[in-house]
Amino acid sequence: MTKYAYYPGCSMDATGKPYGTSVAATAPALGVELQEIADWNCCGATAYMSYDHVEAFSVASRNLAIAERASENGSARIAAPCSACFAVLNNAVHYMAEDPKLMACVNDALAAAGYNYEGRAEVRHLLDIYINDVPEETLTSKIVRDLGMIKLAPYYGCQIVRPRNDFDDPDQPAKFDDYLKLLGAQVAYYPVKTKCCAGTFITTQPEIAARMIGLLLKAAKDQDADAIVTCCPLCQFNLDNFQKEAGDYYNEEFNIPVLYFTQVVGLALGIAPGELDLDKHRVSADAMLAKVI
Amino acid sequence: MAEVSKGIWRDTPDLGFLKEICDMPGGEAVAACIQCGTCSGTCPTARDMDFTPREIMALIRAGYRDRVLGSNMIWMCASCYACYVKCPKEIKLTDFFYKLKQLAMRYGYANPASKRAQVLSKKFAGNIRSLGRSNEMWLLLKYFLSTNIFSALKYTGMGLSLLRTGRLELFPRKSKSASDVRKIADGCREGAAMRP
Repeated sequence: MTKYAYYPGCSMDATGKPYGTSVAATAPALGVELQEIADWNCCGATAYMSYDHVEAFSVASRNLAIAERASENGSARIAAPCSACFAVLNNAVHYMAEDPKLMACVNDALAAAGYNYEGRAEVRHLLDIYINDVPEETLTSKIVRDLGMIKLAPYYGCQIVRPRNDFDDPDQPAKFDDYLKLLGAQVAYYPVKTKCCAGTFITTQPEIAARMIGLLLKAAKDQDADAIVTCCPLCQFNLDNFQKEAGDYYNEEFNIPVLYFTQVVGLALGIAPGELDLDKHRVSADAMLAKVI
Repeated sequence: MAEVSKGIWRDTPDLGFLKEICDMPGGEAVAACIQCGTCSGTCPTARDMDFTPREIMALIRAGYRDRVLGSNMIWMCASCYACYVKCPKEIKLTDFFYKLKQLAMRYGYANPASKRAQVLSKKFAGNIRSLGRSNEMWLLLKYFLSTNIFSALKYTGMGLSLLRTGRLELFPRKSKSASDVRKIADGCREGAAMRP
């Protein structure tokens, strides 16, 4: 078992529930032990950064400080399943390491609530952990369901690879593709894999969002993908819930299930679709499931 | 500051603005820009902007305060960081645009595109200060009440689907972290003078 301080993020209790369910269903089987950070708070995401970046980093760093304090040796290994949380927390760690003035400022603010960040946290995305920390044999020895009949489009989105990550290329990453192959699925050629899902534009600029989302859906549809696989609750939410609006923009009909990578892992491990919340998405995954079950 | 609209700009070059930007932490990046246009080329929303990111950098150097802070460009940045990783001069563009957003808000610049994004930013930060965690339903409710409540009707179908599948938290739960978060945010405001 490899232990991580788990930072689920706010979506896991609401729109991203199927992600949380499928993480809980797959992590123990792969030897990934996730210990939730006590009383964690919101990472601040991009909206808080536009408002005040120092305040955003200070609020985010409370989580780093708690994880450090709870760790056995003072250095925290944090696992974040949401790409936006990952980017904010990872930025906070790196920017504070590069800029002692920012770190002092953040610690000054943290002190108001009795916390201190020592600069000993490491933040990793859960996809990175599943791919790189779980030995290949551990995974392959547990695969019991053949996914060879389905073709999946690996969608990274932006913030898992940018502005920085230590596990794949920021522009043309390929490890997610390889991982889906390892799980036994066919992988669609998906050159838009790191294009933006429109993020919060879904609220503030819905017309532009429809165009951006449509581009991602169309690329998957053109490759006859059975589903798009994501690693971020906001990407999943946008791609799953706005297929009608995106279709209107491109004058096409989209009906592509949008899954979390953990649900695909769960399927390969033989877990029942209901236990992975595969029935909880807007676009039904039934046609895809009929090919593997 | 007056509302800037219809693309009519009355500002004249003011090098005080360039100095203000350069004095801001990370602001010296404008001097490094070589005007290659890679940022505009990689940007997924460049076509929706009144000025492209490259043009914004040029306008800052020429000292056009209203055009820069009143432009919709900074609010059309979706934080995808595509330009950030591609800039040959390694300018941290996305972070730079966050700072321009903050300046625009501080000086009260607004245009139709920025208004909604500004409301979302402020409501989001307020949401976290009061609850500790973000509640999507509560955030959207406050957002639509401050912008256009009728546009919320378009989301009814989605809301019902989320509710049916147990993915909507109707009532905000206050996280135990809320009081800490407020103390930290306030602590940050008190130390505002020395901040980077």
